[in-house]
Amino acid sequence: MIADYFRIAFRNLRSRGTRSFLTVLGIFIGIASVVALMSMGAGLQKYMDEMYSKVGYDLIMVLPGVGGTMGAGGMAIEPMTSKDQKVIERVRGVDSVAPFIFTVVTFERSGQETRGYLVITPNHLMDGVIERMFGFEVEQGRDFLRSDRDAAVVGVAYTRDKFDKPVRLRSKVDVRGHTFTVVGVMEDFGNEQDNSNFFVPWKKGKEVLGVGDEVSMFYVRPKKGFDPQKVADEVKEELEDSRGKEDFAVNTMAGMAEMAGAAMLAIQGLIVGMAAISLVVGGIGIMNTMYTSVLERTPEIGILKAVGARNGDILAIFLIESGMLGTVGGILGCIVGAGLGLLMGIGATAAGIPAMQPDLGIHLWVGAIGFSFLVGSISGVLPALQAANLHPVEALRYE
Amino acid sequence: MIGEYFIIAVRNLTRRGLRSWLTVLGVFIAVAAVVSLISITKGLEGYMNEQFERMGTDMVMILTGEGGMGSFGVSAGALTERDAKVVDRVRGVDRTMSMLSGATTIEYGQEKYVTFIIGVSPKDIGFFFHRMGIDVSAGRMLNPADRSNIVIGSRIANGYFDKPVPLRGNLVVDGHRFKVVGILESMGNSQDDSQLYITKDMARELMDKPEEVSNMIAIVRPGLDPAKVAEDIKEELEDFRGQADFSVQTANQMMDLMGGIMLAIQVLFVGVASIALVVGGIGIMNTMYTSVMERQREIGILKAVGARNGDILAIFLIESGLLGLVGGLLGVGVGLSFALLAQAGAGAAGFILHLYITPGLIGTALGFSFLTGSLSGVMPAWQAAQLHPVESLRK
Repeated sequence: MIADYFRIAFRNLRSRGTRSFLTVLGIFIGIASVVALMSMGAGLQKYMDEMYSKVGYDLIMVLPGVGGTMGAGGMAIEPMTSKDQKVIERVRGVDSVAPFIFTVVTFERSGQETRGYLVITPNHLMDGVIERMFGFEVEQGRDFLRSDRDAAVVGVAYTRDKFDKPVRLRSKVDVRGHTFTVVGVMEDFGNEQDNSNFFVPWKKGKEVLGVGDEVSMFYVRPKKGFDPQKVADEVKEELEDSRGKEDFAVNTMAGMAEMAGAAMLAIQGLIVGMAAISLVVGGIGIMNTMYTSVLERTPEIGILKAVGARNGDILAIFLIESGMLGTVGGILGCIVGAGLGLLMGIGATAAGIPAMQPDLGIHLWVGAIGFSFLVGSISGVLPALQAANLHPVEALRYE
Repeated sequence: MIGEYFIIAVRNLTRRGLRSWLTVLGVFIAVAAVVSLISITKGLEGYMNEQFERMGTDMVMILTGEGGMGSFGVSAGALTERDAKVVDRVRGVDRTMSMLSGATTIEYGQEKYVTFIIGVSPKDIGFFFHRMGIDVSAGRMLNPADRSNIVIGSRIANGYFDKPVPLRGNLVVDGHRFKVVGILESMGNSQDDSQLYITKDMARELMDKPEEVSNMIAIVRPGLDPAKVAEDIKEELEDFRGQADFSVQTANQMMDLMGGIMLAIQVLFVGVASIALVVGGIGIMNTMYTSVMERQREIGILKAVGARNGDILAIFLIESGLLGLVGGLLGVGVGLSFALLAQAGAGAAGFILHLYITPGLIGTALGFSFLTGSLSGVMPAWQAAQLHPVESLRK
């Protein structure tokens, strides 16, 4: 029975080739753009999740400034100091506290200048501080030792295009008249900004920058078995007591991942929502085609009814037809959309953003094809109802 | 002649009412999306440019930190009053103003929030807001004699706290009591309208920063090139400080930067929305193919009584163009209504959204939808024009 319906629907679509093709094309374009955009969004989300899990969801960041602005834009803020560090260290459940200082400076090598982030790293606290606190690995050479003074560990961007003459192990780079020797190169962070980090040891770094007791932020590791969120809340309370006001932010990596995820979802929703407009327009195209189909086949419907087809049968035939239009458009759209996503990924890699890769999970395919079937069927409901409710005699008489 | 073509086209469209409307609906949705997005994004861009122009293109900003972002959280390399003197002496600089800004707590009644406070010398604040065309809506600007007096943004006065803060009301800022002596007019966005202004001397006491300035603004003498003066400022300041740990930007450079970002957003949004227009065009093409099929006999008769290929082509092209145009008309109407709704919504959230609505935008949208319709009709119309009269009569 159902198989017959399918055969009838398929024959009808074939007999009106151009029109079916154009109708499918409409849905196809909509699905292709939605799939391409969603795959990029999902890919970016996956990259961020990986990044956060690498650093470790238990890590807690403490930043100065309202809402953790770190005083960007020259805003005068109460900086964090070693006094705050002592307060944090005393909180129950805190394993270790690592202060960091970030600033943008000009690096010089063989007379050529480039700008990047100078990260003053607390190597005096422990060996291998970068790997332990950032979670990312030093790929070539080694991490900092406690004894390092003029050493530097560089982001992978310095070995690529930051300088005409790429940096290697034992290369020398000048910062404000001081010379650092590269002892390690970080693995690829997947984004240009983090790849431009230039890590230098604590004592020498502070000397170069000319800072006293102030730091940009703290990385806090909670002890095993403690809930990071609880430890973070306690750190916040203690700091507020000692500083007298809440002019800083305490975030767990899990909390930041959640926030970033929500923001990504909002942006993705906005863009995919706009692409979905074309899907609505495509659905209207299906409705139009189906109305035309019902009109053209009125005598046929009359005959079917005359030989005993019930309203439900007619309804099913037309719904299957419109659902097929949607599904075929969806399948083609998925294939082309996935291709577009891969192309965008290649383009992003070429543009230096290797993190922008499409995520073409099975749920995306199933979801997109299922959705296009739904769009097709829903668009077909009104025309199919019209066909089903035709009066057999009237329909036979129709010319 | 053309008049008759129109009559024929309109008659055909009305005869197939529902299907014509569905076709129009497709175009209409797409045009509405594109028009409202352009209107909002262009409006935003226009607003930003206006803000920059209000502040003056003769303005040069000097910021801490090489990236213009500051040394995150540490005051190393902060600009000081001595740097301001150096900038003031640079040839071509008319005057400079320096500010000390920071985050602070603000209490009124039982409520307590954190917001930004700006310490600025009384002679500068009047000059600065006068240039921007902003005045106090109540009270006055700051006086040199002011110590515990404060000028507040319009949102602090109204909307920030449960109860409005009146003139001569008492605010507690960073634990110190201040009296409101002036309320500023709205600057059109809630962030600027949520700021506090006190004298620079008082801010120095409050933040315990005797020398530091957060940023400086230099006004360039009329007739001189701001970019050139900015270069001179950079050189002089680098000589004085011994290193280039600050950034100098002209209003034009900042405007270009923001303009570039806005353009990217606009291209992305409008580009994605335009896909729907293509799909709508395909819908028109489909309707026209159907129309040609259904009217083969009519075409045969027209040809038999002397209509040439060109006439048939014109009739069908006008028909498809009309489908596009009607969709465009509805789309422009609804799109602009959407934009106005968005404006009202933003207004309720304390943000003045300026819309870009010009005859040019409306004309372009209508022309474009007519073009979409006509282009989509070319192939079906061509097919109709090529039909053999006898063959089509026989159908």
